[in-house]
Amino acid sequence: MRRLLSIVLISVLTISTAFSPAYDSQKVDTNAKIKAVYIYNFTKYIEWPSDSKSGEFTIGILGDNDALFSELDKMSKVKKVSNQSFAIKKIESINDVKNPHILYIPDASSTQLNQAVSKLKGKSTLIVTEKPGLAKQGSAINFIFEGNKQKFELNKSIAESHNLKVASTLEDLAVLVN
Amino acid sequence: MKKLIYIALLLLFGNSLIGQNKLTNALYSLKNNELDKAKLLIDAAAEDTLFQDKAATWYYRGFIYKNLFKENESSNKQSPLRSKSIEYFKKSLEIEPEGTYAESTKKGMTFLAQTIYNHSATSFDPENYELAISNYELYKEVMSIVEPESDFKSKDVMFNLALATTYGRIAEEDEDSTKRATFTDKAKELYEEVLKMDPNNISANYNLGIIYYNEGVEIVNNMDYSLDLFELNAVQDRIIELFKESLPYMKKAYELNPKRRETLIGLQGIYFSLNDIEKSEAFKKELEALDNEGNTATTPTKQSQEAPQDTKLQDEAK
Repeated sequence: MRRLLSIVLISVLTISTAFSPAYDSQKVDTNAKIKAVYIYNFTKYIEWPSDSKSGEFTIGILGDNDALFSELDKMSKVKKVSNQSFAIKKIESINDVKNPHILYIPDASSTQLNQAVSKLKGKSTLIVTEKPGLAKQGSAINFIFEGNKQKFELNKSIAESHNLKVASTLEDLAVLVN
Repeated sequence: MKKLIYIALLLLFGNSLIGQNKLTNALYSLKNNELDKAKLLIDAAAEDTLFQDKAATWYYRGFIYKNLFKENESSNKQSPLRSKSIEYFKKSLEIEPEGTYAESTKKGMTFLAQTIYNHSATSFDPENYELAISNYELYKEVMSIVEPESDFKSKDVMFNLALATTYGRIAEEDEDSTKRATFTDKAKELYEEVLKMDPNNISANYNLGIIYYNEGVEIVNNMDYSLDLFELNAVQDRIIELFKESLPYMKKAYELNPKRRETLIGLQGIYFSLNDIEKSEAFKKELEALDNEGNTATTPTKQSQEAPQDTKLQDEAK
């Protein structure tokens, strides 16, 4: 009897992992989703010049950032900027950059920031980066972490040099950099 | 058991003026394995004022019902015959807590309690979990009568884990988000209870870590892209809180078993979500090292409910 009872108890014991992590691969990039939400908000609080308000609203990602690309791609299927549909593009090289509305430069590609700044000088492109210090080196918006929280630095004068008008609400929420 | 029947028959013959009565007839039928007839006779005896205050009457009534349960309702998880049998055994013990029949009565009750326990253990699924709960409570109730000093702590731990697993399945599979949240909370409470009894329980620690982590991830996954920046700020505060809440449980699970693949994946994910990339990478390296050692454990997946099948019990009262 005790032996048989033990069989039952052991069977119950094997049921030990009730919850599976909410991700299929080894990690889920919650930061990418948060960045996508920020980026969509930038399109609401920043105004592009009128000649940029027709056709597709293009976001280019320079180099690899699959998680962000995937999130922006999902966003592009459900959101628009006024009447403009999103076009999310992976850009292999700085030579392939063609005046997107937003150019996102991931950390791993940040050495190309200077080239991007030169190439896009005077163009209506919001350059967004994610490495400490880059808002002082040419990007208008730079994602940073404060504690565990994702925030963004805003260099308003750089944004204005690209013909972009920044709403005061965005300034209020940003870490301002001059 | 047969010996007990013979003794009972002798005693009853000796004490009866008629020499034969409802109880002795019931015992003859029982001896001849005529259970249905024995039932009718013992039921009648139990109604008779001559027998209804005798422990023997209720013991044999319990015994006959127990055998009927074994023959007819052993797979019925809510067997009325078993319930009746327990009721009659209890009455026998109430009349004579330490008498001739006490030991055999307790054996019979123990047997029935084990079948109830098994029926509880085989009911941990989203459709039948309430039966698992009621049967486990009944098992404890019966065993507390048989052995008043019973300590159920280790069984409570296992029961809570199994039930929490079931709640986890409901929380993961149900389409109703309110129901999902409710069952996640219920599972959380059960794991917390387990940790009160057994702070080093690896499953409870791991699962609590995952629950809090998943709650954070789910909030992020459900965020609308047009979420206002002020709200995004508040959402970030909430998810960071959840990730931080998950961390001590997952760290404890790691401390208890640093070679458990699921835990390493969990810690990697939690630190990544907390933007502590350095620590996330450190656990990623540990995971790679573990994989290189040839550990073949799979990534965590939804656990199937492996309820024991065909668990047959020997009748100790035979």
